[in-house]
Amino acid sequence: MRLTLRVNGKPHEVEARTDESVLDVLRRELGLLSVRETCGIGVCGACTVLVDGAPMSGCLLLAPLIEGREVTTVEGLGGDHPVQRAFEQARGFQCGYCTPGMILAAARLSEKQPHPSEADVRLAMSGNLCRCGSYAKIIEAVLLAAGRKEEA
Amino acid sequence: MIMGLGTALFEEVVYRDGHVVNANLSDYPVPAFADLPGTLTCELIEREGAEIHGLGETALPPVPPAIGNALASLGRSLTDLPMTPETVLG
Repeated sequence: MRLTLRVNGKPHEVEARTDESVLDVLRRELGLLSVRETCGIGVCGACTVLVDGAPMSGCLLLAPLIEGREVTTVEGLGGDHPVQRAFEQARGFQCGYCTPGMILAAARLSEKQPHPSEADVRLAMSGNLCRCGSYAKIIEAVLLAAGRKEEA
Repeated sequence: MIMGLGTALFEEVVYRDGHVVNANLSDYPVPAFADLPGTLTCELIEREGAEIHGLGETALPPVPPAIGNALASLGRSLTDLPMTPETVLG
């Protein structure tokens, strides 16, 4: 089927099967390789995309459901988003595999809750796993983005 | 260090009839935000004349024995991982 949607601020028409995940469509049709599959069952958060601003697991979302929606991946943040700068400054990663999902979850939090506490960050980011265990640095990065911590 | 907590306390590949039965993250837990201790401090100890060494996974192996030794000091000596509530109390 033909899908019409907006991805990272631009209109797109993509070809997709009705039983495909948004994850597969974004990677194959638009080359958005920051959207990653790990568990394939919505547990790890590596495939997180923002659909009309809300974080969703791209691996569980069926392609037809994004018809007419606005989808944001980390490529759409442009590289200079405050959350991205904070992750760089605080070194909020080790291997970097989970980072796109972490950054999107953090970007959503920064919009919903501009001044989160550490507990808010832990809760808002709890759908994202980091195999390296870099959680302490990730929390630091999110708090830094929110202006809650001095630059390291 | 956080990865080491997973190895020490709850990560375990379970086999039944020759098959891995917890092959995905729904059944095989890795440390998540909720498993992070309230505070976490690291102290880097320098040794004169030591060779340059990576810091990533080097910190991983000592975590299970550190927790194991803490348990042993309380009179419970375990030699298998993970050290779950069941094995500690069992």
